[in-house]
Amino acid sequence: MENILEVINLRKNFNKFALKDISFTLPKGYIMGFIGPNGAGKSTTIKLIMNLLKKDGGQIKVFGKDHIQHEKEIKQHIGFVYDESHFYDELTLDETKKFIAPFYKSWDDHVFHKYIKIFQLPLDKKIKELSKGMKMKFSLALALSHDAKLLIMDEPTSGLDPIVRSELLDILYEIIQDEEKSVFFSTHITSDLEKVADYITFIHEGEIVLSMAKDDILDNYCIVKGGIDLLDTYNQKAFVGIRKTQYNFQGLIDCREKVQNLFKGNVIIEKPSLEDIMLYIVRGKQYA
Amino acid sequence: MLNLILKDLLVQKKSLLFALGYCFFLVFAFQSMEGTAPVAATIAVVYLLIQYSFAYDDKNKSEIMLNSLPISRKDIVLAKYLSVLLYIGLATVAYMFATLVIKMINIPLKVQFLSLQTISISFFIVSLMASFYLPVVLKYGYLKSKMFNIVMFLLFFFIPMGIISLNQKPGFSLSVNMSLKDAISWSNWQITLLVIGFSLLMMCVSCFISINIYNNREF
Repeated sequence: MENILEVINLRKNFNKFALKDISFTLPKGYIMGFIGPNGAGKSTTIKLIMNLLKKDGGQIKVFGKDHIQHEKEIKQHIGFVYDESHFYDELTLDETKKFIAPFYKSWDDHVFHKYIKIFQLPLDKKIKELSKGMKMKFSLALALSHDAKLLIMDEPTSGLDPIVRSELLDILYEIIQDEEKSVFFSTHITSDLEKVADYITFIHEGEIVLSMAKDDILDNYCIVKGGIDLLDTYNQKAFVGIRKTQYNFQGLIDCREKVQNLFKGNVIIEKPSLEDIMLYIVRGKQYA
Repeated sequence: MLNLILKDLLVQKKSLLFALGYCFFLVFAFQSMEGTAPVAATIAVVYLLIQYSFAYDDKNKSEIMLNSLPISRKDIVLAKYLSVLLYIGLATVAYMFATLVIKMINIPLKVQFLSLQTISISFFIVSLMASFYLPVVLKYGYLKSKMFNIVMFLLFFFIPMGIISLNQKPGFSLSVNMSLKDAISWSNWQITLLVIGFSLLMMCVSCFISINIYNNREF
Protein backbone atom coordinates (compact mmCIF):
# COMPACT_ATOMS: atom_id res chain seq x y z
CA MET A 1 0.00 0.00 0.00
CA GLU A 2 1.35 3.41 -1.01
CA ASN A 3 1.96 5.79 1.85
CA ILE A 4 1.02 9.42 1.46
CA LEU A 5 2.52 10.55 4.72
CA GLU A 6 5.30 8.92 6.72
CA VAL A 7 6.55 10.32 9.98
CA ILE A 8 9.60 8.48 11.28
CA ASN A 9 11.15 9.10 14.71
CA LEU A 10 10.22 12.77 14.57
CA ARG A 11 11.70 14.79 17.39
CA LYS A 12 11.29 18.39 18.48
CA ASN A 13 12.43 19.91 21.75
CA PHE A 14 10.97 22.97 23.38
CA ASN A 15 11.71 24.38 26.80
CA LYS A 16 8.91 22.63 28.61
CA PHE A 17 7.70 20.18 26.03
CA ALA A 18 9.16 17.67 23.63
CA LEU A 19 7.91 15.55 20.79
CA LYS A 20 9.62 12.26 21.49
CA ASP A 21 10.55 10.30 18.38
CA ILE A 22 7.05 9.86 17.07
CA SER A 23 6.27 7.63 14.08
CA PHE A 24 3.15 6.86 12.08
CA THR A 25 2.09 6.39 8.47
CA LEU A 26 -1.00 7.34 6.49
CA PRO A 27 -1.81 5.17 3.45
CA LYS A 28 -3.23 6.70 0.29
CA GLY A 29 -6.97 7.23 0.14
CA TYR A 30 -7.72 7.18 3.86
CA ILE A 31 -8.64 9.59 6.61
CA MET A 32 -6.44 9.58 9.68
CA GLY A 33 -7.69 11.20 12.84
CA PHE A 34 -4.96 12.66 15.00
CA ILE A 35 -6.28 12.91 18.52
CA GLY A 36 -4.99 13.89 21.89
CA PRO A 37 -5.66 16.39 24.66
CA ASN A 38 -4.71 20.06 24.38
CA GLY A 39 -0.97 20.49 24.48
CA ALA A 40 -0.25 16.88 23.49
CA GLY A 41 1.74 17.88 20.41
CA LYS A 42 -0.87 17.78 17.64
CA SER A 43 -0.27 21.27 16.28
CA THR A 44 3.48 20.87 16.72
CA THR A 45 3.41 17.73 14.58
CA ILE A 46 1.36 19.45 11.90
CA LYS A 47 3.64 22.50 11.91
CA LEU A 48 6.64 20.21 11.55
CA ILE A 49 5.05 18.47 8.58
CA MET A 50 4.38 21.88 6.97
CA ASN A 51 7.93 23.00 7.80
CA LEU A 52 6.63 25.90 9.89
CA LEU A 53 8.75 24.52 12.71
CA LYS A 54 12.21 23.00 12.27
CA LYS A 55 12.56 19.41 13.43
CA ASP A 56 15.40 18.36 15.75
CA GLY A 57 15.50 14.82 14.46
CA GLY A 58 13.75 12.17 12.41
CA GLN A 59 12.23 12.15 8.98
CA ILE A 60 9.03 13.28 7.35
CA LYS A 61 8.08 12.00 3.91
CA VAL A 62 5.11 13.29 1.98
CA PHE A 63 4.21 11.42 -1.24
CA GLY A 64 7.39 9.43 -0.58
CA LYS A 65 9.60 12.53 -0.76
CA ASP A 66 11.52 14.37 1.91
CA HIS A 67 9.36 17.27 3.07
CA ILE A 68 12.17 19.84 3.08
CA GLN A 69 14.15 18.88 -0.01
CA HIS A 70 10.98 18.82 -2.10
CA GLU A 71 9.04 21.39 -0.08
CA LYS A 72 7.62 23.51 -2.89
CA GLU A 73 6.71 20.52 -5.03
CA ILE A 74 5.00 18.77 -2.11
CA LYS A 75 3.06 21.86 -1.07
CA GLN A 76 1.61 22.08 -4.58
CA HIS A 77 -0.42 19.02 -3.59
CA ILE A 78 -1.21 19.76 0.03
CA GLY A 79 -4.40 21.49 1.02
CA PHE A 80 -4.38 22.96 4.50
CA VAL A 81 -7.07 24.12 6.89
CA TYR A 82 -6.02 25.47 10.27
CA ASP A 83 -7.93 26.12 13.46
CA GLU A 84 -7.84 29.88 12.94
CA SER A 85 -8.12 31.96 9.83
CA HIS A 86 -4.69 33.21 8.79
CA PHE A 87 -5.96 35.24 5.85
CA TYR A 88 -5.68 38.99 5.54
CA ASP A 89 -8.72 40.56 7.19
CA GLU A 90 -8.72 43.53 4.86
CA LEU A 91 -9.02 41.51 1.66
CA THR A 92 -12.26 40.22 0.24
CA LEU A 93 -12.70 36.52 -0.48
CA ASP A 94 -12.24 37.22 -4.17
CA GLU A 95 -9.03 39.18 -3.61
CA THR A 96 -7.70 36.43 -1.36
CA LYS A 97 -8.47 33.82 -3.98
CA LYS A 98 -6.75 35.92 -6.68
CA PHE A 99 -3.70 36.19 -4.46
CA ILE A 100 -3.50 32.50 -3.62
CA ALA A 101 -4.56 30.83 -6.87
CA PRO A 102 -1.48 31.76 -8.99
CA PHE A 103 0.83 29.91 -6.59
CA TYR A 104 -0.77 26.58 -7.51
CA LYS A 105 0.01 25.04 -10.88
CA SER A 106 -3.17 22.98 -10.97
CA TRP A 107 -5.58 25.59 -9.63
CA ASP A 108 -9.09 24.99 -10.94
CA ASP A 109 -11.46 27.96 -10.84
CA HIS A 110 -14.48 25.81 -11.67
CA VAL A 111 -13.93 23.63 -8.63
CA PHE A 112 -13.42 26.71 -6.48
CA HIS A 113 -16.66 28.29 -7.64
CA LYS A 114 -18.45 24.99 -7.16
CA TYR A 115 -17.49 24.96 -3.47
CA ILE A 116 -18.21 28.69 -3.08
CA LYS A 117 -21.72 27.90 -4.32
CA ILE A 118 -22.16 24.84 -2.10
CA PHE A 119 -20.89 26.72 0.97
CA GLN A 120 -22.85 29.86 0.02
CA LEU A 121 -19.88 32.16 0.53
CA PRO A 122 -20.08 35.85 -0.43
CA LEU A 123 -17.02 36.55 -2.62
CA ASP A 124 -17.30 40.32 -2.32
CA LYS A 125 -17.18 40.36 1.48
CA LYS A 126 -14.05 40.97 3.48
CA ILE A 127 -12.55 38.11 5.46
CA LYS A 128 -13.17 40.01 8.70
CA GLU A 129 -16.89 40.09 8.01
CA LEU A 130 -17.17 36.29 7.94
CA SER A 131 -18.25 34.05 10.80
CA LYS A 132 -15.86 31.40 12.07
CA GLY A 133 -17.74 28.68 10.24
CA MET A 134 -17.60 30.61 6.98
CA LYS A 135 -13.87 31.24 7.35
CA MET A 136 -13.32 27.53 7.79
CA LYS A 137 -15.43 26.78 4.73
CA PHE A 138 -13.52 29.34 2.70
CA SER A 139 -10.27 27.78 3.84
CA LEU A 140 -11.59 24.39 2.80
CA ALA A 141 -12.74 25.70 -0.60
CA LEU A 142 -9.20 26.98 -1.24
CA ALA A 143 -7.68 23.72 -0.02
CA LEU A 144 -9.86 21.68 -2.38
CA SER A 145 -9.38 23.76 -5.53
CA HIS A 146 -5.85 22.83 -6.54
CA ASP A 147 -6.13 19.06 -6.81
CA ALA A 148 -4.55 18.39 -3.42
CA LYS A 149 -3.56 14.78 -2.77
CA LEU A 150 -3.26 15.33 0.96
CA LEU A 151 -5.44 17.49 3.13
CA ILE A 152 -3.89 18.57 6.40
CA MET A 153 -6.32 19.94 8.92
CA ASP A 154 -5.45 21.24 12.35
CA GLU A 155 -8.54 21.25 14.56
CA PRO A 156 -10.81 22.38 11.74
CA THR A 157 -13.93 21.63 13.76
CA SER A 158 -13.02 23.45 16.95
CA GLY A 159 -15.42 26.25 17.76
CA LEU A 160 -17.89 25.25 15.06
CA ASP A 161 -21.52 24.43 15.64
CA PRO A 162 -22.67 20.81 15.14
CA ILE A 163 -24.35 21.56 11.82
CA VAL A 164 -21.25 23.04 10.18
CA ARG A 165 -19.15 20.30 11.72
CA SER A 166 -21.31 17.61 10.28
CA GLU A 167 -21.24 19.35 6.86
CA LEU A 168 -17.45 19.39 6.99
CA LEU A 169 -17.33 15.70 7.83
CA ASP A 170 -19.66 14.86 4.95
CA ILE A 171 -17.38 16.73 2.57
CA LEU A 172 -14.33 14.94 3.89
CA TYR A 173 -16.04 11.63 3.39
CA GLU A 174 -17.00 12.61 -0.13
CA ILE A 175 -13.54 13.74 -1.21
CA ILE A 176 -11.81 10.51 -0.29
CA GLN A 177 -14.25 8.49 -2.39
CA ASP A 178 -11.99 8.63 -5.45
CA GLU A 179 -9.28 6.96 -3.35
CA GLU A 180 -6.70 9.44 -4.61
CA LYS A 181 -6.87 11.84 -1.71
CA SER A 182 -5.92 11.36 1.91
CA VAL A 183 -6.80 13.41 4.94
CA PHE A 184 -4.80 14.00 8.08
CA PHE A 185 -7.10 15.58 10.58
CA SER A 186 -6.29 16.64 14.12
CA THR A 187 -9.01 17.16 16.66
CA HIS A 188 -9.89 16.71 20.28
CA ILE A 189 -13.54 16.16 19.43
CA THR A 190 -13.33 12.40 19.07
CA SER A 191 -16.95 11.90 18.05
CA ASP A 192 -16.09 13.58 14.72
CA LEU A 193 -13.69 10.78 14.00
CA GLU A 194 -16.04 7.94 14.80
CA LYS A 195 -18.02 9.03 11.76
CA VAL A 196 -15.25 9.40 9.18
CA ALA A 197 -11.78 8.25 10.22
CA ASP A 198 -10.18 5.04 8.95
CA TYR A 199 -7.10 5.33 11.13
CA ILE A 200 -6.55 6.84 14.53
CA THR A 201 -3.26 8.13 15.85
CA PHE A 202 -3.36 9.08 19.47
CA ILE A 203 -0.72 11.39 20.86
CA HIS A 204 -0.24 12.16 24.55
CA GLU A 205 2.51 14.25 26.17
CA GLY A 206 4.55 14.19 22.99
CA GLU A 207 4.38 10.44 22.51
CA ILE A 208 2.30 8.26 20.23
CA VAL A 209 0.14 6.07 22.43
CA LEU A 210 -1.43 4.17 19.58
CA SER A 211 -1.71 4.40 15.82
CA MET A 212 -3.93 1.84 14.10
CA ALA A 213 -7.11 1.25 12.13
CA LYS A 214 -10.11 2.67 13.93
CA ASP A 215 -12.07 -0.58 13.69
CA ASP A 216 -9.19 -2.54 15.20
CA ILE A 217 -9.06 -0.13 18.09
CA LEU A 218 -12.76 -0.32 18.72
CA ASP A 219 -12.72 -4.15 18.38
CA ASN A 220 -9.76 -4.72 20.68
CA TYR A 221 -10.34 -2.25 23.44
CA CYS A 222 -13.14 -2.89 25.87
CA ILE A 223 -14.54 -1.42 29.03
CA VAL A 224 -14.82 -3.86 31.89
CA LYS A 225 -17.17 -3.27 34.83
CA GLY A 226 -17.55 -5.33 37.95
CA GLY A 227 -17.53 -5.54 41.73
CA ILE A 228 -14.49 -4.28 43.58
CA ASP A 229 -13.92 -7.71 45.16
CA LEU A 230 -12.97 -9.14 41.75
CA LEU A 231 -9.84 -7.00 41.59
CA ASP A 232 -6.48 -8.16 42.79
CA THR A 233 -2.96 -6.83 42.30
CA TYR A 234 -2.39 -9.15 39.36
CA ASN A 235 -5.41 -8.43 37.20
CA GLN A 236 -5.32 -4.75 38.04
CA LYS A 237 -2.09 -4.46 36.03
CA ALA A 238 -3.93 -5.48 32.86
CA PHE A 239 -5.86 -2.21 32.78
CA VAL A 240 -4.84 0.73 30.67
CA GLY A 241 -6.84 2.91 32.99
CA ILE A 242 -9.14 2.09 35.85
CA ARG A 243 -11.65 3.88 37.99
CA LYS A 244 -12.67 2.50 41.36
CA THR A 245 -15.39 3.31 43.84
CA GLN A 246 -16.07 1.74 47.20
CA TYR A 247 -18.15 -1.07 45.68
CA ASN A 248 -17.20 -1.47 42.06
CA PHE A 249 -14.74 -0.61 39.32
CA GLN A 250 -14.67 0.12 35.65
CA GLY A 251 -11.62 0.21 33.45
CA LEU A 252 -10.22 -0.04 29.97
CA ILE A 253 -8.40 -3.12 28.72
CA ASP A 254 -6.60 -3.16 25.38
CA CYS A 255 -7.20 -6.79 24.54
CA ARG A 256 -10.66 -8.30 24.64
CA GLU A 257 -9.29 -11.84 24.95
CA LYS A 258 -7.52 -11.09 28.20
CA VAL A 259 -10.78 -10.36 29.97
CA GLN A 260 -12.07 -13.94 29.89
CA ASN A 261 -8.87 -15.25 31.49
CA LEU A 262 -8.73 -12.56 34.09
CA PHE A 263 -12.30 -12.46 35.29
CA LYS A 264 -13.94 -15.70 34.11
CA GLY A 265 -17.07 -14.01 32.86
CA ASN A 266 -18.05 -12.38 36.14
CA VAL A 267 -17.85 -8.89 34.66
CA ILE A 268 -19.76 -6.75 32.20
CA ILE A 269 -17.92 -5.97 28.95
CA GLU A 270 -18.83 -2.88 26.96
CA LYS A 271 -17.68 -1.37 23.70
CA PRO A 272 -15.83 1.88 24.36
CA SER A 273 -16.06 5.09 22.37
CA LEU A 274 -12.88 6.83 21.22
CA GLU A 275 -13.53 9.35 23.94
CA ASP A 276 -13.54 6.61 26.59
CA ILE A 277 -10.25 5.31 25.25
CA MET A 278 -8.73 8.78 25.24
CA LEU A 279 -9.95 9.51 28.77
CA TYR A 280 -8.70 6.26 30.27
CA ILE A 281 -5.33 6.51 28.59
CA VAL A 282 -4.80 10.13 29.58
CA ARG A 283 -5.91 9.66 33.14
CA GLY A 284 -4.22 6.27 33.33
CA LYS A 285 -4.28 4.75 36.74
CA GLN A 286 -4.57 8.01 38.58
CA TYR A 287 -8.08 7.02 39.69
CA ALA A 288 -6.66 4.08 41.55
CA MET B 1 6.80 37.12 -6.25
CA LEU B 2 4.97 39.94 -8.04
CA ASN B 3 1.89 38.52 -6.42
CA LEU B 4 3.38 38.95 -2.94
CA ILE B 5 4.29 42.57 -3.67
CA LEU B 6 0.84 43.33 -5.02
CA LYS B 7 -0.72 41.69 -1.96
CA ASP B 8 1.26 44.04 0.30
CA LEU B 9 -0.12 47.01 -1.63
CA LEU B 10 -3.64 45.63 -1.69
CA VAL B 11 -3.89 45.04 2.06
CA GLN B 12 -2.84 48.62 2.72
CA LYS B 13 -4.71 50.43 0.01
CA LYS B 14 -6.14 52.81 2.58
CA SER B 15 -2.66 53.75 3.81
CA LEU B 16 -1.66 54.65 0.26
CA LEU B 17 -4.22 57.44 0.21
CA PHE B 18 -3.16 58.47 3.67
CA ALA B 19 0.45 58.64 2.47
CA LEU B 20 -0.49 61.06 -0.27
CA GLY B 21 -2.34 63.25 2.21
CA TYR B 22 0.71 63.13 4.43
CA CYS B 23 2.87 64.51 1.62
CA PHE B 24 0.61 67.57 1.33
CA PHE B 25 0.86 68.04 5.05
CA LEU B 26 4.67 67.85 5.04
CA VAL B 27 5.04 70.35 2.21
CA PHE B 28 3.14 72.70 4.47
CA ALA B 29 4.73 71.73 7.79
CA PHE B 30 8.37 71.87 6.71
CA GLN B 31 8.10 75.35 5.20
CA SER B 32 10.81 76.85 7.32
CA MET B 33 13.36 74.05 7.00
CA GLU B 34 15.01 74.35 3.64
CA GLY B 35 15.60 71.03 1.84
CA THR B 36 14.01 68.82 4.48
CA ALA B 37 10.42 68.42 3.25
CA PRO B 38 11.12 66.09 0.31
CA VAL B 39 13.45 63.93 2.41
CA ALA B 40 11.08 63.85 5.37
CA ALA B 41 8.14 63.01 3.13
CA THR B 42 9.91 60.12 1.44
CA ILE B 43 11.21 58.64 4.67
CA ALA B 44 7.89 59.00 6.43
CA VAL B 45 5.86 57.48 3.62
CA VAL B 46 8.22 54.54 3.07
CA TYR B 47 8.47 53.95 6.80
CA LEU B 48 4.70 53.93 7.07
CA LEU B 49 4.22 51.51 4.18
CA ILE B 50 6.89 49.08 5.43
CA GLN B 51 5.38 49.16 8.90
CA TYR B 52 1.85 48.53 7.67
CA SER B 53 2.85 45.68 5.42
CA PHE B 54 4.43 43.85 8.37
CA ALA B 55 1.62 44.81 10.73
CA TYR B 56 -0.93 43.21 8.40
CA ASP B 57 1.22 40.07 8.12
CA ASP B 58 1.29 39.87 11.90
CA LYS B 59 -2.37 40.63 12.55
CA ASN B 60 -3.75 37.17 11.78
CA LYS B 61 -0.38 35.44 11.77
CA SER B 62 -0.74 35.39 8.01
CA GLU B 63 2.84 34.27 7.64
CA ILE B 64 1.64 30.82 8.71
CA MET B 65 -0.62 30.85 5.67
CA LEU B 66 2.10 32.23 3.36
CA ASN B 67 4.58 29.60 4.47
CA SER B 68 2.07 26.81 3.98
CA LEU B 69 1.62 27.80 0.34
CA PRO B 70 4.08 26.57 -2.27
CA ILE B 71 6.24 29.67 -1.96
CA SER B 72 9.90 29.55 -1.02
CA ARG B 73 10.91 31.59 1.99
CA LYS B 74 13.52 33.28 -0.15
CA ASP B 75 10.78 34.70 -2.37
CA ILE B 76 8.88 36.05 0.62
CA VAL B 77 12.00 37.92 1.76
CA LEU B 78 12.91 39.15 -1.72
CA ALA B 79 9.38 40.46 -2.18
CA LYS B 80 9.72 42.56 0.99
CA TYR B 81 12.98 44.12 -0.24
CA LEU B 82 11.62 44.81 -3.70
CA SER B 83 8.58 46.36 -2.05
CA VAL B 84 10.85 48.86 -0.31
CA LEU B 85 12.14 50.02 -3.70
CA LEU B 86 8.59 50.24 -4.94
CA TYR B 87 7.58 52.29 -1.87
CA ILE B 88 10.45 54.72 -2.52
CA GLY B 89 9.12 55.14 -6.05
CA LEU B 90 5.57 55.63 -4.76
CA ALA B 91 6.69 58.13 -2.13
CA THR B 92 8.62 60.13 -4.72
CA VAL B 93 5.66 60.20 -7.08
CA ALA B 94 3.30 61.12 -4.23
CA TYR B 95 5.54 64.01 -3.19
CA MET B 96 5.92 65.21 -6.77
CA PHE B 97 2.17 65.06 -7.18
CA ALA B 98 1.60 67.00 -3.96
CA THR B 99 4.06 69.78 -4.92
CA LEU B 100 2.68 70.03 -8.45
CA VAL B 101 -0.89 70.31 -7.23
CA ILE B 102 0.05 73.00 -4.72
CA LYS B 103 1.95 74.91 -7.39
CA MET B 104 -0.80 74.57 -9.98
CA ILE B 105 -3.58 75.86 -7.81
CA ASN B 106 -1.35 78.71 -6.72
CA ILE B 107 -1.44 78.26 -2.99
CA PRO B 108 0.95 80.86 -1.62
CA LEU B 109 3.37 78.34 -0.08
CA LYS B 110 7.08 78.02 -0.50
CA VAL B 111 7.18 74.61 -2.15
CA GLN B 112 10.37 72.58 -1.96
CA PHE B 113 10.71 70.54 -5.12
CA LEU B 114 12.54 67.27 -5.38
CA SER B 115 16.11 67.51 -6.52
CA LEU B 116 18.72 64.91 -7.31
CA GLN B 117 20.29 65.71 -3.99
CA THR B 118 17.13 65.16 -1.95
CA ILE B 119 16.28 62.01 -3.89
CA SER B 120 19.68 60.48 -3.24
CA ILE B 121 19.68 61.49 0.42
CA SER B 122 16.26 59.97 1.01
CA PHE B 123 17.16 56.87 -0.98
CA PHE B 124 20.23 56.42 1.16
CA ILE B 125 18.44 56.94 4.48
CA VAL B 126 15.51 54.71 3.56
CA SER B 127 17.87 51.95 2.41
CA LEU B 128 19.87 52.20 5.59
CA MET B 129 16.70 52.07 7.66
CA ALA B 130 15.29 49.10 5.72
CA SER B 131 18.62 47.27 5.83
CA PHE B 132 18.56 47.37 9.61
CA TYR B 133 14.86 46.93 10.18
CA LEU B 134 13.97 44.12 7.77
CA PRO B 135 16.30 41.44 9.22
CA VAL B 136 14.92 42.23 12.69
CA VAL B 137 11.25 42.22 11.76
CA LEU B 138 11.70 39.11 9.62
CA LYS B 139 13.20 37.34 12.60
CA TYR B 140 10.86 38.47 15.36
CA GLY B 141 7.70 39.61 13.60
CA TYR B 142 6.09 43.03 13.80
CA LEU B 143 4.90 43.08 17.41
CA LYS B 144 8.07 41.74 18.95
CA SER B 145 10.25 44.21 17.06
CA LYS B 146 8.18 47.20 18.15
CA MET B 147 10.77 48.54 20.58
CA PHE B 148 13.54 48.33 18.01
CA ASN B 149 11.21 50.06 15.64
CA ILE B 150 10.65 53.07 17.90
CA VAL B 151 14.35 53.56 18.54
CA MET B 152 15.08 53.20 14.85
CA PHE B 153 12.42 55.70 13.93
CA LEU B 154 13.89 58.32 16.23
CA LEU B 155 17.42 57.69 14.96
CA PHE B 156 16.58 57.64 11.30
CA PHE B 157 14.06 60.41 11.22
CA PHE B 158 15.44 63.10 13.46
CA ILE B 159 19.20 62.74 13.16
CA PRO B 160 19.30 63.20 9.37
CA MET B 161 16.81 66.05 9.68
CA GLY B 162 19.11 67.64 12.23
CA ILE B 163 22.15 67.23 10.02
CA ILE B 164 20.36 68.71 7.05
CA SER B 165 19.17 71.72 8.96
CA LEU B 166 22.62 72.20 10.52
CA ASN B 167 23.99 72.10 7.04
CA GLN B 168 21.86 75.06 6.06
CA LYS B 169 23.58 77.25 8.63
CA PRO B 170 26.73 79.11 7.57
CA GLY B 171 29.96 77.45 8.63
CA PHE B 172 28.72 73.89 8.35
CA SER B 173 29.53 71.72 5.40
CA LEU B 174 28.69 68.28 6.63
CA SER B 175 26.68 67.08 3.68
CA VAL B 176 28.10 63.92 2.17
CA ASN B 177 27.12 65.17 -1.25
CA MET B 178 28.89 68.46 -0.81
CA SER B 179 32.21 67.14 0.45
CA LEU B 180 32.23 64.43 -2.19
CA LYS B 181 31.58 67.02 -4.81
CA ASP B 182 34.45 69.18 -3.60
CA ALA B 183 36.81 66.26 -3.40
CA ILE B 184 36.32 64.64 -6.77
CA SER B 185 34.55 67.19 -8.91
CA TRP B 186 31.84 64.76 -10.06
CA SER B 187 28.58 65.86 -11.55
CA ASN B 188 25.36 65.64 -9.54
CA TRP B 189 24.29 62.67 -11.61
CA GLN B 190 27.42 60.74 -10.88
CA ILE B 191 27.14 61.37 -7.17
CA THR B 192 23.49 60.36 -7.20
CA LEU B 193 24.34 57.12 -8.99
CA LEU B 194 27.13 56.42 -6.53
CA VAL B 195 24.87 56.97 -3.52
CA ILE B 196 22.07 54.89 -5.03
CA GLY B 197 24.53 52.14 -6.00
CA PHE B 198 25.94 52.04 -2.50
CA SER B 199 22.43 51.96 -1.00
CA LEU B 200 21.45 49.06 -3.25
CA LEU B 201 24.57 47.16 -2.26
CA MET B 202 23.68 47.67 1.39
CA MET B 203 20.16 46.35 0.74
CA CYS B 204 21.60 43.31 -1.04
CA VAL B 205 23.79 42.44 1.94
CA SER B 206 20.87 42.93 4.31
CA CYS B 207 18.62 40.83 2.05
CA PHE B 208 21.16 38.01 2.06
CA ILE B 209 21.21 38.07 5.88
CA SER B 210 17.41 38.21 6.02
CA ILE B 211 17.04 35.18 3.76
CA ASN B 212 19.20 33.17 6.14
CA ILE B 213 17.28 34.43 9.15
CA TYR B 214 13.89 33.77 7.59
CA ASN B 215 14.87 30.28 6.47
CA ASN B 216 15.36 29.36 10.11
CA ARG B 217 12.32 31.17 11.43
CA GLU B 218 9.72 29.13 13.29
CA PHE B 219 6.02 29.95 13.36
